[in-house]
Amino acid sequence: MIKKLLLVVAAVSLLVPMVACAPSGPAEEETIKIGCLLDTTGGLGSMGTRILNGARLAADEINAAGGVLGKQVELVEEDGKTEADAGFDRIKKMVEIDGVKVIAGPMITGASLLAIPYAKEQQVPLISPSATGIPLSEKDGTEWFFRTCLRDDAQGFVLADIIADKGYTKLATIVLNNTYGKGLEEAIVGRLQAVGWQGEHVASVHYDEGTKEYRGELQGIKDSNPDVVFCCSYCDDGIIIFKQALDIGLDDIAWMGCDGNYGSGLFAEPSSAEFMEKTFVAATRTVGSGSVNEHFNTAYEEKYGEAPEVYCDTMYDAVWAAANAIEAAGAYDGDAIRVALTELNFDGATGQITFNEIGDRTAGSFEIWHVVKDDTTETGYKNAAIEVVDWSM
Amino acid sequence: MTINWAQVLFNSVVTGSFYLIGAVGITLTYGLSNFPNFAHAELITSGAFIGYMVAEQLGLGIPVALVISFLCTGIVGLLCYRCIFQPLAKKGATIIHLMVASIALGFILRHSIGAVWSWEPLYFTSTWRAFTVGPLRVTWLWLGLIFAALSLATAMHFVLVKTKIGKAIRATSSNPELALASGINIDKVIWVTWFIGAGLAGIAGIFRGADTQIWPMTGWDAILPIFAVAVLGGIGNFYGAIAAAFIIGLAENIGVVGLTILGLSTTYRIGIAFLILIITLIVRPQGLAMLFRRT
Repeated sequence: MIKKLLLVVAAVSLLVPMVACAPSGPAEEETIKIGCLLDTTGGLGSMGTRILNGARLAADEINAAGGVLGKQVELVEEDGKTEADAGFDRIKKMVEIDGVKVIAGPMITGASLLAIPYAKEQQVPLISPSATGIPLSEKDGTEWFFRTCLRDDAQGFVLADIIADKGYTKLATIVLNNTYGKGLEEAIVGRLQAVGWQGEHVASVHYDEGTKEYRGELQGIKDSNPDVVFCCSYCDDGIIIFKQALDIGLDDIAWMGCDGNYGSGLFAEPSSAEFMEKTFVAATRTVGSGSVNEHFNTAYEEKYGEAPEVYCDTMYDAVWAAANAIEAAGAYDGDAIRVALTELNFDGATGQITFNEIGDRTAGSFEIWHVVKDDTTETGYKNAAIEVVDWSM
Repeated sequence: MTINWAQVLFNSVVTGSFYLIGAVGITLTYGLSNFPNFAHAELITSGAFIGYMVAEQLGLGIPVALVISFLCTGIVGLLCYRCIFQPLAKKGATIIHLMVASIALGFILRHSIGAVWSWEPLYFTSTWRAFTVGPLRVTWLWLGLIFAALSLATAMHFVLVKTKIGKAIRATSSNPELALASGINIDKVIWVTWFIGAGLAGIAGIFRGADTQIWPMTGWDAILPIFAVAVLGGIGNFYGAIAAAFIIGLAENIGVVGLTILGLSTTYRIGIAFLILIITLIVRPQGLAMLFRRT
């Protein structure tokens, strides 16, 4: 008897979560849901946590301005753990259980690659703040994948133009062995060839982020005798590269970098900071301009007590793009939102936001930066802008 | 491109020195206790963190850090053996049980370190000015590392050949029953070995941390080539380990040059250590041990 009773209790307890998770019909919805998939744990955890602030700021502002379609906006926040599988799993959860029709995210290219075919199948547009990989535009279903960041090749174009303008003739590259690093390298080299650059690509190193020791790689670069080195790294691996480059004696030639090397994190180690200050002639990152950008920077700092870091602005724009598209579509429907996104044109924190038919930004601006000494900061160094250049397709 | 072979060779010696200091503990404890201690990776990590605490947070400098880290990590290693592996072995645990226990212990240590110090990487703030000697670019850190490996090799040779405890270690390693019958206190021999092996792991951790970064995966990042050194050298064979450390160091550094010339990613450099490991296991499972039979 007790056994039977236990069985019944067990069966009922299994049913409870199922009922709780059952999708609620659209009729009961009191809010407009915008999915928000960011990696707030794992490798990009600290970055993702800050980016989430950008999303929340946008949602609060949208709600303060009266919401969308007369309803308040609700962010469905999920953590992709900086893992492609985990991120894709959370997307399925948002679509199938929460009934979300538009998602701001994913952050990483890996999760995006998995999610794009699914987005097409389920008719749920994705708006990534930071997946810059070029292959995403070649994926079946890419018309469902929008991004408020600029693609790697846009940054590659700007970098290649700097190399050509400054008259360097022997380029060495040391880049991450992933779509980001290799895509950027390919874009730079392709652009240099297209503009008739007379120089030579003397060394190409694709390194592993996990190795943590790059003396051999850097020695190879030194032996190839370049006059400029382009580096595409993240923060922790970048520190080791710059510190060991100083040891190896690569500090008497020009170095260039990209958005991955931007941020105060790279100054945590004194040799790395010293090296960057000494050698970095130009590096790039996407920036916004205009009144919305100023408003965003002030509002973010006021609310969270620190200046926004990389991709906080693109996430802010992604949530605004989702809200604007729902409003323009006039209905909470995936396909209508997708069509509205392609026709969208508004001023965001990263400048004017317009997408082409496959969801890529058609224009944007890059800041050219370097590293300068600054005694007011904790590390004694900071990133400083040289100029802002506009890019368009 | 003209390759600076002198520098490649020198870099190999630097890499090999680190592998040697890291691998001594593994090979000696494997030889005596008959299981591969995967938690050795976390002993390297612990050493790096203890070194960071002493050198940076207490401001006592790297030399003091090396001594304190050797002692503290040695004690941690000894405690691991006394409190976990020895009781398990006495209850009849086989090599598989002990190996799995060591993986679990490593996991616990790694995440405890992460919980205490966070997963954000830390860096030694002392910097070593690099300078040029002929065709070579060297720093005091690398010279210190090579010096540490050389002193270790000399000291260990002296201990193993000349001292009572050294002879006891060798005797216990080759035949524990006979050693016991000859009146050697096996337990004491094993404890001393675990202490020294773990202490050296701590020193390796400081050098690795100063050369790269310190985080809870510092040891784990390097454990595979270190195991390759222990296997290639022949388990329990110190002299084999010396040769193996420099062979793997050389293979990795030449490998990076080769991979770059071939236009392949240097991600495969770890594959080179593995390739040597697999070939050794197939062709010569006893490693280089036979070459040093005399000892």
